[in-house]
Amino acid sequence: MSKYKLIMLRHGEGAWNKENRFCSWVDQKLNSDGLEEARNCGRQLKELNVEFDLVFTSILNRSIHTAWLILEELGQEWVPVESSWRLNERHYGALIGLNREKMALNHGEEQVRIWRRSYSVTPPPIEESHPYYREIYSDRRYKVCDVPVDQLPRSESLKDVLERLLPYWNQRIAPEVLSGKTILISAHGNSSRALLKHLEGISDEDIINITLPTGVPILLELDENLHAVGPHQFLGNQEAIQAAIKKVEDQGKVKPAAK
Amino acid sequence: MAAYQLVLIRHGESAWNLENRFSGWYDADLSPAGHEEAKRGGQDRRYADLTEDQLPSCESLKDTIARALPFWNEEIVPQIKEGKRVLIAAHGNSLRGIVKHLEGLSEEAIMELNLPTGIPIVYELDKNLKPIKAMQFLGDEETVRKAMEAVAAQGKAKK
Repeated sequence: MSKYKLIMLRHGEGAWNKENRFCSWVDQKLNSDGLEEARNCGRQLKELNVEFDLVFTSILNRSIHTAWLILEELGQEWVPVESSWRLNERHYGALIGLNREKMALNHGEEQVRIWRRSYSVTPPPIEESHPYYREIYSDRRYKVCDVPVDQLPRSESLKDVLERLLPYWNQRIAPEVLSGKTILISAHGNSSRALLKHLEGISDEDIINITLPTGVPILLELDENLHAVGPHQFLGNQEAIQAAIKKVEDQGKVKPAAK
Repeated sequence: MAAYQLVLIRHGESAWNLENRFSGWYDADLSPAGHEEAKRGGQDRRYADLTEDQLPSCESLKDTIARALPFWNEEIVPQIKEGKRVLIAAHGNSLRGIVKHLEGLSEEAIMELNLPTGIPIVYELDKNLKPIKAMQFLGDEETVRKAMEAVAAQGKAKK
């Protein structure tokens, strides 16, 4: 019997999604499709008369803009928003900015799939020589985290993501859910998956097969111990949702040669 | 040498600013918008935490200041004293409350003061949160002067 509800979502498209590059901690903006995905999310939630009490985002602008657009559609701009690095997308280390298709050509689809979808395989760490290193670590937002900047991740597996996300869930988000507040978590592909793994008790093996579509609200119903009462549900048109899932899965594949 | 810096901004023109109407708590959008919110005013979920007698049906400037200052003192001042750089994005009269308090203005003086819309207002404060100089507007002199004149003209009847 569900006592609590939680809504989370993965933000929509940015420029690098189209280019099939690992974006991760690079602070890419949503492109026009991504902005529309966020508004659509808001419209879906408005139709369902959802009333949020509190919103959590990462400190990457695409998750924040998504939340803003959703709140705007709902006429709930007044709802407080809290942001933390602990909801950031998974840190892809040295693979940040690299094209998934090229990686698949160089390392094979299977290796790319493992890097993207395994539970505990950590990509090689980002080095100071990486073109995006300075842009990330000299940003002021990482100087005011609850961890000193030199202790922030330089690469993460999905397991690492859950390890840094869980304290935030336990200390900040869970108490709000338990107090009866309706919460929105506007996050990323992997930070959402990590949280779902924890709440639904998905195994390390099964998580590799979970794909979250972008811009679709995900409803999770929880019991009094904040365990999922059933599998997560996607809110909205089911055909469109399946197409969105396939789109994300296809990103890892090598395209067949043009005729 | 200022211990702290504080920035205020009055939101930009709303549909009701255009018609020169007192907006008060009516949630006028920045573009032309619906009127239902005016009717729903007191029932709106965002005011659910307020008791019946806390929820005003009307306020004088004195009333506005009386409910804004506790928030300033309890929520904003501690953040400033922690060294945080604060932006307050608010409204003509709630900002006047903060300005009156910061500068120790008389009731007559605050009635003369008109804050321009959409222009950042910077205060540099000493460690006791007293302004070390007059408020500064960020913008070119001409824009600032014109904005202040325009807002002052709102009270005067059009010919």
